[in-house]
Amino acid sequence: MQNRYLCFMKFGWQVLNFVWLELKLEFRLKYAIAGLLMFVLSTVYLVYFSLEYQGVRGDLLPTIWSIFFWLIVLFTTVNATFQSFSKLTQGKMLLYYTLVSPQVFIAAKLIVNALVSLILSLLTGLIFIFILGNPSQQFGVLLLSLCIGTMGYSLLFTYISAIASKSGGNSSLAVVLGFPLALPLLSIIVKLFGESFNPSLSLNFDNNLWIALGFNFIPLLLALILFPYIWRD
Amino acid sequence: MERFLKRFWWKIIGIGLLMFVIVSGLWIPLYQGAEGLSFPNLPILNESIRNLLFHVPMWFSMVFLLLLSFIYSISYLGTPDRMRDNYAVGFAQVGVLFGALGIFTGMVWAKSTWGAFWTNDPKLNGAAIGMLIYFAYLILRSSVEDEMKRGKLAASYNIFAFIMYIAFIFVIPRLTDSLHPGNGGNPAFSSYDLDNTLRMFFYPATLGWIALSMWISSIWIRYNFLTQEYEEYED
Repeated sequence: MQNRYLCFMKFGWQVLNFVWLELKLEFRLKYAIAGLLMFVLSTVYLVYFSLEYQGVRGDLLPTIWSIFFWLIVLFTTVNATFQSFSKLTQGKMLLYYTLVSPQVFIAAKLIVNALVSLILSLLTGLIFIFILGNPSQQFGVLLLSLCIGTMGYSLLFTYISAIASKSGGNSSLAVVLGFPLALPLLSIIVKLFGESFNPSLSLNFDNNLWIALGFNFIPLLLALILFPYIWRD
Repeated sequence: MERFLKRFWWKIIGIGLLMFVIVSGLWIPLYQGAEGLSFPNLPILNESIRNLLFHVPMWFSMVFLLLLSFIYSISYLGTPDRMRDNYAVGFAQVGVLFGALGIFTGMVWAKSTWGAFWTNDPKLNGAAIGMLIYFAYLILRSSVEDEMKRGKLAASYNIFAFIMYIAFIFVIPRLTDSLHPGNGGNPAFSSYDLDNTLRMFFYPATLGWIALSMWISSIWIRYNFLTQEYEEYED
């Protein structure tokens, strides 16, 4: 029992160290994070323009707001997670093989990608509120569903991107593999997100919240179990 | 499993059951108040109730084949062996074929009872997403050249996708109402139309279609295996 506890502590410590290293690398390679920020900014501006010139920005429906928002978050997450794998060169992978176990590697990747996607989607939300207005009547619900949804996407797409980058494909392969699997989470998150537009919560809210958390947990567990099998070529 | 697939007895039983089901399913009259064997006569369903013997077992066969594919993918990750990969992909492909058949039989049925080929129904969405997932699986396979690598990546995607898909199928009926029996206030099969006559034909139909789907996949897997061997022999 003692031994197992120590093992767990060691695993956690290794993961934390690796997360720190990855975050440092992420912010040292400025072009990667800057590219993602550019992606977010230009897509949001694209949406803003397309709404402005149809003359609907003033009386924008909350549903349209949430559709645009989640599409942008989805594509940003795919790009962020995919580039975290595609920028790994062969030499760097060899270094990682010798340093850490596959579980530590994927756990760190999951955490880092979740953090980066969270930052990006919060930023997207902020810009949306600035230029398109705030449609929510319960801001806490909006924030909660945003965090859960983005986490779920990034956990799912981290593993999918690992598969896609191992197969030598580009990010469109990650989109093809991931979007059908992202639909279940999307359908629940959009429901949760939509509740923030109403003055009060519906009876199903708790239930849907647990389901959404479950869809965060399943990809996490499966990625930890399955990644060791695809980690070496 | 390999030896079971080569046996004859279950194929013959399956075909016998299917012939029995197809003939009787089209021949037995609806209930008109007379004595004798008859299917229930229900207001909206009318004659289309016979589709129960075709549409529903297609889905059962699809899920059954996808389950087999999932099991073979797990065993492939344990011991990477080309034949297990062949089984996994063969079952998945025939599973997709049966899914397509299920969608087509369902569309015909939906047109005559609900008035449209496609409705926004959770079960239809679940089926469509399942098809998309397995198309993605086949695309992933075709995008990798190296055989070992393809096997490993495809197996891990298959396991991941199947578990997500099953979770989804269990979850989605809670989100919206469905037109299907047993959901959203519609009576379930058992409460109205699975009377004993229909049940007598429905269970054999399920077994028969599953047996036929297994037979088709065993032939398809063997065909793929022989093609591979022949190509290697030619090289």
